[in-house]
Amino acid sequence: MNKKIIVAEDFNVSRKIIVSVLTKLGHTVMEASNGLEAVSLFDGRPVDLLITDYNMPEMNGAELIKTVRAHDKYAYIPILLLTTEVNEQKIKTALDENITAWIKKPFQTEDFLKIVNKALR
Amino acid sequence: MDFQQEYIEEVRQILKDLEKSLMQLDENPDHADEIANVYRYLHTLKGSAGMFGFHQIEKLTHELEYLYSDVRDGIRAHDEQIMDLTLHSVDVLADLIEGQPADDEVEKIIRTVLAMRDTAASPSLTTLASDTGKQLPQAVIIFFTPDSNIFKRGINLNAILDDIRELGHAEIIVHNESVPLEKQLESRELTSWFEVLLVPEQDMEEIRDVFMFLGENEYEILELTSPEQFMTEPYTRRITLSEEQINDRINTLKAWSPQLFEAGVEEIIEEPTAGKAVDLKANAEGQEDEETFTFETKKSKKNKGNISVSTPKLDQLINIVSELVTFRSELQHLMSDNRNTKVVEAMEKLDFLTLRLRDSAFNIRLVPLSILQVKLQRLIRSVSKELNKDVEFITEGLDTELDRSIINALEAPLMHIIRNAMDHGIEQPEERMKRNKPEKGLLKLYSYNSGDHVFIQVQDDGNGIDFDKIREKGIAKGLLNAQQNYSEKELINVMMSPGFSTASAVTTVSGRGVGMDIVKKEVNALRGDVEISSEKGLGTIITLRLPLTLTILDTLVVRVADQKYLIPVSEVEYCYEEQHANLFSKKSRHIRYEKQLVPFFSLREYFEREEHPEKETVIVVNKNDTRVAVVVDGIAGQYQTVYKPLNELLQPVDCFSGASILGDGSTALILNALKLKN
Repeated sequence: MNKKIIVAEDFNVSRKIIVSVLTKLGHTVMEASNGLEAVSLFDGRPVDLLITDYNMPEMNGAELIKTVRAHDKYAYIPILLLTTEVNEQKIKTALDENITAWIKKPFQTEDFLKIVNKALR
Repeated sequence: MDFQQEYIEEVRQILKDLEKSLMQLDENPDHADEIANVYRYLHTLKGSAGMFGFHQIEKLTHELEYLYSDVRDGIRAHDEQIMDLTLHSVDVLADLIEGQPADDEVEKIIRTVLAMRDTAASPSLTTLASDTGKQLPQAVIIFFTPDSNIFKRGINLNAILDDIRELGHAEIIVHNESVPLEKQLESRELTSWFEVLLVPEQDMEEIRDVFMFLGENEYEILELTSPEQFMTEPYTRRITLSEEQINDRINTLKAWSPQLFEAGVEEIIEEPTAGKAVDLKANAEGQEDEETFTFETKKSKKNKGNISVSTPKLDQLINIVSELVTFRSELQHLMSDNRNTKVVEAMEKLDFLTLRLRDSAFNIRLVPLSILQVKLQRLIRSVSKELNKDVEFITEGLDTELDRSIINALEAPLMHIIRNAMDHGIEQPEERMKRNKPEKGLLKLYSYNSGDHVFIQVQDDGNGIDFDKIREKGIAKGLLNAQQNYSEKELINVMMSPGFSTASAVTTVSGRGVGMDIVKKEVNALRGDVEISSEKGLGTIITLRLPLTLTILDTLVVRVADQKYLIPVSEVEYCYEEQHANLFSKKSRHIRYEKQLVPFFSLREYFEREEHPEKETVIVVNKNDTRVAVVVDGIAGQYQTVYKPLNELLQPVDCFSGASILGDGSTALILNALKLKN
């Protein structure tokens, strides 16, 4: 099933990997290298999933998620947060930002896909 | 970076490992670790196949994985049928990953697996399974209490409820439904929570996966082993059930799993702290096991410490090292007059280090012969089935190392030799019994180092070579003279000459038009030799002699005018000086050597040099029993060179096989003397 996915990640290599993996699955993927760019991709058309990094220039992940959730159309879309953070408390705070799940970096593609597929259900 | 290419590389490796595990299983079918390995390989293949668009691989491995999870859990025995099927699947998977369509084969295998799964395991085996303790939990209760912000988090509640229903027989009881659930879903305001009665068809891992996005306090999975649990914690914390409600639940579960609460009684007596504590403990233990397992595999991989390096990178390293070695000789040459002891000492040290560096660099290219073992084992397995000949395969010294390119080139000849030995050498079991031989044939493959050569021998205890038959056939083919007597050695030579095949009929096993002549040709191309010795009725030994590496070559440096050329020392048979007039006075261009006339060629003539020294040097070259003499100005010395292939422009000039850099920094070509003849 073709889904529309937005990937926001400032680290090029990670983003390319994610994009290539998702594209191979047949999804339409749009890339942004910071939060502001990502926001501009939410143009009112339906989006099935947002995958975003936490630490990004211009606008970070938390702000991006807040902005997206404030939009009626995107209030309930699944959002996956990429993070290198191991601090449980910080992650818990991140969960309060109304995300679906967080993915610890680095990740195994297998695990990553499991989570993505689940989120796309 | 091309991920797909990387993925393909990885799959190739996994398939190799998988094949290896299967061969281990073939020898020892009850090896639990190997079963687990096979399962793991299949699982890994499946996991990554889909995302790279290899859907057939995904489908096939999915079905096989099912089969092996049954085997692993003791529900099914790993029998011959599964073995054959899996081995065949490995081949099909290899085809698929190389991009060859094999849809029909995939369908066929899947149908077979499905048929096998339909003929479910016998009841005796099922009871056996419960002893292993790995079977699915008989019944599970799930408390699913999502936070009210579940929708805000982008979680699809409906999908989770669907997933729960797919776990097996499930009944989802909705609590706190003051507002109908449908309305709650619509308005995205959840007040209800769910109690799930489940007789699972998936394992605990799959069950937990359903709740992947949920927090720890949003769900609780409870293995149900006794009806008491309905009246104790953690049930009572959430809801107090009436007797009728409990009976309803038990009846629902019993309808799906009639033996519920019967088998597990003992467990409860042993562990009085039933319920959550037991459950958690079991979970924790399970997870711990799994973790140490992966850790161990990681560790063992670490011990092996393999990394793969692309060949161009390796070639580059070898090139630089050889240049360094050459430069060292040059430096030594320049320093030879230096009497300063400190400089001499430093030179010696440099000497030692460069040579060590060279040896280690060349060592990188060496791989053990054992990497061919699995392929050969599979060949033997399939041939022995085909021909109905049981064979014991013994290997020895397969850790002997050879240049990677030699090993690759050896695969086909070795397979052919083994096929031959099994088809023509080893007799049918009845025949063997008559001859007082063990019913099982013996096939031995061993290898050892000797000097800078590696010997590989294939020995069988079969019928030996039928020399009468070879003689007959040779005469029939016009290769031999009917009136003449031939020694066994001569007959063996005939056997290895092009176009000779003794199989009276072309069987599927050997005699596919590729005879021993091809084996000989391929081994010769590696600068190796084939030797055959055979005893009628007792067996045959085929010996392959191969150079350790293709890149280092001992050569004789010869002078022709102002140029130097190299001739491999292994090919040089004899050298002597001769007056120019003596050589060229006769009409025929032959010299007499060991009562034979050997054609000679003058390199000066070949390179169209008019003048010539009065005294010249004749070098008799012997390669594959063919002799040629080369006339040069003189010998400049012996030199261990590093072989470098010629570039494309020079390749058509076939009297040179390669080039090398000499100690003084100049280049020299390596002569392929036999080609001068043409």
